[in-house]
Amino acid sequence: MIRKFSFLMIVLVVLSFGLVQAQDATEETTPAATETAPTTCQPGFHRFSHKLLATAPVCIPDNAKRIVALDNSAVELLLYTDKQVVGTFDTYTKDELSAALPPLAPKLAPITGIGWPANLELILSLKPDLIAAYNNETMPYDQLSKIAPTVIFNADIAQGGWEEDTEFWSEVFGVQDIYQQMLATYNARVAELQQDLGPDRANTKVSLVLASSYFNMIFTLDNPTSKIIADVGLGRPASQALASDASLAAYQNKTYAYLSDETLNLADGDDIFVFTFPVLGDAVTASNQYLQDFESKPLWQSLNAVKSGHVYNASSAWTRGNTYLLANAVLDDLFKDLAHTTSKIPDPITAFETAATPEATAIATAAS
Amino acid sequence: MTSQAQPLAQSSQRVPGSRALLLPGLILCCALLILGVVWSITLGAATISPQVVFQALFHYDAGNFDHIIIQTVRLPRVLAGVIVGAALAVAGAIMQGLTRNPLADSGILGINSGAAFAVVLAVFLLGNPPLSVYALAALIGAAAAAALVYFLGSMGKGGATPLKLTLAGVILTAFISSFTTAILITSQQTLDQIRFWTAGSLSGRDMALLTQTAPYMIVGLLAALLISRQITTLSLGDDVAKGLGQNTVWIRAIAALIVVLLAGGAVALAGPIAFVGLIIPHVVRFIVGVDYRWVIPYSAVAGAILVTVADVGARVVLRPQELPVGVIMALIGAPFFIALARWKVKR
Amino acid sequence: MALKSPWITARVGQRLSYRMDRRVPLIAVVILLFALGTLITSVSYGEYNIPPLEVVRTILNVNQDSPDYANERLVIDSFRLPRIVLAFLVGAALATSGALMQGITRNPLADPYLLGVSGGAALVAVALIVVLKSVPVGLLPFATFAGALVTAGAIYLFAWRNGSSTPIRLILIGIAVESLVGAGTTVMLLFGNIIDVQQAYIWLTGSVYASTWAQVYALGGWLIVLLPLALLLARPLNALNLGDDPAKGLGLRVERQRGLLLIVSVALAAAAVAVAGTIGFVGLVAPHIARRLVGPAHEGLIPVSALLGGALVMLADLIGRVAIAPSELPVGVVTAMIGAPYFLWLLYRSRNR
Repeated sequence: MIRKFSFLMIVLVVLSFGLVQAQDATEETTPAATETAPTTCQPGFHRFSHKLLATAPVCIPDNAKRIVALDNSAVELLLYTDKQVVGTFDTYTKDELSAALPPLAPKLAPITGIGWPANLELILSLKPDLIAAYNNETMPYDQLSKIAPTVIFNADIAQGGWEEDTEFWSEVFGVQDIYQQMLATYNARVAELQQDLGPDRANTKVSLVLASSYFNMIFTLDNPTSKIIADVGLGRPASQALASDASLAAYQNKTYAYLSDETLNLADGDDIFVFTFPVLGDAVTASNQYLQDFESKPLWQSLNAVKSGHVYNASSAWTRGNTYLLANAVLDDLFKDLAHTTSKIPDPITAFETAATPEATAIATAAS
Repeated sequence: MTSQAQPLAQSSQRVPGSRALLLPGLILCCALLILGVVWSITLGAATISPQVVFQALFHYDAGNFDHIIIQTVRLPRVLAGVIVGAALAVAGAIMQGLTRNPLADSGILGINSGAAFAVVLAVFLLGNPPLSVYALAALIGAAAAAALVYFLGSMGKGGATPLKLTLAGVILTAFISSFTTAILITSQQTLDQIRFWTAGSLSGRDMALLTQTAPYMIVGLLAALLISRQITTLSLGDDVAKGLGQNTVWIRAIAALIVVLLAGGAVALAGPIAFVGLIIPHVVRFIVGVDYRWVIPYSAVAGAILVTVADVGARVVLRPQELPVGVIMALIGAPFFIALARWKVKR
Repeated sequence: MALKSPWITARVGQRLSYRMDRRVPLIAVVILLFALGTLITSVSYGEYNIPPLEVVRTILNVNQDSPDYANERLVIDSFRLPRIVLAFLVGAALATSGALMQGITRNPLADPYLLGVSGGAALVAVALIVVLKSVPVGLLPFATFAGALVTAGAIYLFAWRNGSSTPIRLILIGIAVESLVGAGTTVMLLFGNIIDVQQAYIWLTGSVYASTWAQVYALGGWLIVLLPLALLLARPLNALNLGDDPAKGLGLRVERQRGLLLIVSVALAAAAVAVAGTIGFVGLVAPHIARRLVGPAHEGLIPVSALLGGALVMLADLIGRVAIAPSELPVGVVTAMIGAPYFLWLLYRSRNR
């Protein structure tokens, strides 16, 4: 009997290694397994490599026409350059970007939502010639790359600002010049804002508070939105002026910290910007109601910035702040609430406001 | 299985210590509770000295950040812990006495998760319902779950044995949690509330919610005291109770209603917290014997002490992060349950 | 022998014989036909539209000159078939595990996760997903498998007293340990990033989304070893089912047989959980239906449960794909939504037995 037992155990151990081997063989195609990198590509394709590419170099079409974009910066850049996005995420991209950047909504509406988790067959039926994604654990890269050439942005090693993502995708889509324009516009607006805020701006401690019914958080320095604040040269309260490792040590997280009722004073500063998740429809009412309840708490009322009236309900663009247009929306709020001026350089989103006439939308739809 | 339940119930029916000591003992427990409450109020993520706590309680300054923390955050939280602990412990004591099931507990039997799911469903369907709806939904959910578990557990041979009731509770909990997941995956919005309710926590409970839910639990506690004599008789067996001329059906119905009020109210306030109702009655019966006129008040006070102390643990263990008190109770309660099953289940 | 025997016996050589209820082969064939029907429906349904005839032609590999051949091949070979076959195997593993567990504990409410398999696996999986974040995907099944076995072992040890581990103690201690590891899982879910948490929830419910052939082969390897073993143990299980003392009377070494059966049952459930997460209620419901079809003798009960479990999970996966397309419900949500009410009804029907 004992012998039977030990035999069984040995069989089980061998089998369990089989289980691991098999899993390794297929699923981990993400970075390592596609090591057989192409040295030459078919005509009409070129070899793409980048330090932020999560996989080995891939062959991608020189002029992609139908793109499934599963990364918000990629979607935005494609809309900006009038390329056709045939499919994207429903909640994360279509809903969130529509809510945070309303002028984009008409352009996002006709894009097919690919469901959650991403419906592979639906993606295939959209006949994409390129798939643009970032390395989210739920995405089956292995299967996606069988549908079309798949480019994966390595979000794990990226620093989180909008520039990196957008630069990466501009190389993928061959629109580096557009990225340079974007960067120039952004820098010019930042310079203008710095001028309006005056040289003393580093002494203004700006606090960033994300309020939602489950958690309230403050953003530390490595958060994408914090990077915009840093670009402008504004100061941060001591509780939030922590770079990734310091933030990790203090709050167990690199880019944010949870606020409990008792630690609400970590949110204090000279000026507090409060924002919520970008939501649509009924959720807006609930979200506003929550914000109202949150800001009427006696503890909140006792913060210095609240007492002196320096609290601003900012755009939900602040929640992610990780694309070009979101970053510009953040700048708009800073112009309005801190500098009390308006930028002479128009917010790039206005390009979509004029384009979003019904005629323009109709033309865009007909063209597809 | 029934044959095994009997000696189990018997074994905890120890001859109580001197009856004369019972009242002073209860007063001592109350004093301990007050001590625990004060201790709990002085602890939290923010460091506040005992003097400031004292000032906040008796000389409140509405402009002082620390005073506001004491009055709006810690005091409601501690009071919530006290009443939830009392309610769950008494609910457990009644259920154990009534079903002569030593493993009865509103958490283990799925009543808590039924109540919590009803709250989640209400939030999902109504969006942002008024606080009174929370309590009502929880009561309905608790009643439905209790009925279902009893129905499930009493099927087949031998009627409602402890084991079958326990398994029925586990199945119901699994079923409910899969529905919760379905809501969560289809409606990302409700995710917040679901995480909030299913963990069992005292964090962020304010006076408004406390005043909405406490009346149910207070009524339940008082009613439990009133029928404690009848429960004692019933715990000796249906035949004994009938022999003494008791209307067992009515007493059972009233007792079930009390359990629903207590468990439903507790869940509406704190989410599902298991094991309080399991541990406390066992400890209490060991000390005061099987007279439910004493078991119930002792359970109430001891349950309040346990949850208060567990909540202190929840706030201190991972400071400044807070754990849900339900997690702490599982850490304390599960080993207790294991010991109970290991030493008392002979067969 | 004038009387027609209710049993049929298959013999392999002198030593091995397998005796089962006469109805078993017929019922097995009926279930297989049902499974085949589900397979065909499932393989024909999807967001990428392929006409049924074309599906058959693709599977038979006779339409290679059709313009859509490459895409149809991809959809059927890489997207549909692996998940459908994996669903069947997972269901078969869980149902077999459940049948064994119900036999071992002599309790019709027992399920494969009774010995903490789902809790232990979930704790490890959530820890990997939420705490470590970028976990190598290949590590997940191995780690969950280890977590499941460790938890099951702990429960068995806790339940061991005075030289035996009675079914009742196994059940009760299983529940307690499950809630203990569940508390750990809750903590990690609470402190996790919201996106990681959603992924963890999907894993917790059980899903065969984006399955691959490698997963099918991996689980298949387990089943090839464990299913015959389960069948071989059917006869001792019958004896064990009479109670510990009668089984001893029949000359059975009760603790050893029970230990062996538990290992097989836990290994089956753990292997299924490792590839597809914790899919609930199949292991509970399938053996019940099987028992109604072929009676309580495990020689017939185990194979019929396995087939039935496989067919049910396959069907549940199809429903999950159709229900909220193009999104999908994890198969575990569907099995619970169908399985739980059905289970209640089943209990209600059999309340007087």
